Amino acid sequence: MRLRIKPRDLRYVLTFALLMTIISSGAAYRALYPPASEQYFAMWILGPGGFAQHYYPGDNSNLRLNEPVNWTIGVQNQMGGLEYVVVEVKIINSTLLAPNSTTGTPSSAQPTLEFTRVLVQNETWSTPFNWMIISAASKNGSTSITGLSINGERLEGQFASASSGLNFRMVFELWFYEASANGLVFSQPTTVGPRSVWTQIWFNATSVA
Amino acid sequence: MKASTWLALLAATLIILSAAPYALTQQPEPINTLSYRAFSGLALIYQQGGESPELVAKLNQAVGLIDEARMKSLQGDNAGASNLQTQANTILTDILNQTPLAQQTAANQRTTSIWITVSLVPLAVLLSTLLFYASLAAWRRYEKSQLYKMQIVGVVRDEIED
Repeated sequence: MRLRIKPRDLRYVLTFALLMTIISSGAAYRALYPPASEQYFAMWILGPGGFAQHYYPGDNSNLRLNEPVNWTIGVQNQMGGLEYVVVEVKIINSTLLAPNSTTGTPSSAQPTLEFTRVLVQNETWSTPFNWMIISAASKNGSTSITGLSINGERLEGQFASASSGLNFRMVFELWFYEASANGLVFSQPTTVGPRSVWTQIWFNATSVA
Repeated sequence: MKASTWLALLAATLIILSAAPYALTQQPEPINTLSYRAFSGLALIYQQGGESPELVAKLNQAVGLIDEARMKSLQGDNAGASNLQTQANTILTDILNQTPLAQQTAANQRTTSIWITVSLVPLAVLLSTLLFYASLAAWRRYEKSQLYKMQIVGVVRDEIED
């Protein structure tokens, strides 16, 4: 069959082909290299039943010895790739410095416990954090937590001290592996300054010692 | 001290200093560093657009054991901690051994997907242009038929006027 096409129609067809080449090339490029979306981690602590409420038994944040506290730690990876994350749990009092979101610096306290996980993009990870104070000591009006049970494991040591057992804090810091640092980092640089992920929950322990 | 003694001392110091990094490399790699190395290998697979859920699951098992080992160590159970670290070490070594193949597979898959996507471009252009041409040709035929119809109508009107 001989294809007969008028010069005017040939111009239309060639223009169309050119347009389609540009459009499909753009679509192919986007399919191969999708645009980067906002990159972030999210972390949360939930109370019993997975709700952001009733964090303490009887909603009383003044804890007694061997009183179980049941929380869930949640982390979500929206960083666009595989991530190595560590949730560091620290117990501090009101005078010790908490992490600083503005400067992106973590709390100077040593972690009591660490939870490590490798997360793929868009993955949400939850882990139980069931704890209670199992021993404490009082000296010169200061209460020290000396024993903790976390997820059924007993830990002993000098965790934190607070005047009259008031204003303890359980701090959760999210650290992640950074190849350029060849180690864990607490904050990531962004155009609006360092971004770090952490949270804290306050409690008292006035009647444990 | 004689100059020869100084030289001997200097040579001994240089030998010790040059041997120190070698001695360091002979020490077992810290478990955390090993886990970072295993992670970096897997992260590369995901950066290439590949996936390796089995190796990620293994790495999670290993880091879980490392966490447990740290807990045992805090509890003073050094033997238990060491045992868990050995298990984690075995898993991490296994991951590191399997990673090159997984990376190669991911790279191959990436190359294939690039080729498929790139070859779809001319195919899409060709098919859509053919469709466009067919539509244009159909339109031209329709236009022509409408033109003839108008002529026929004109003839009928002429006949009526006559």
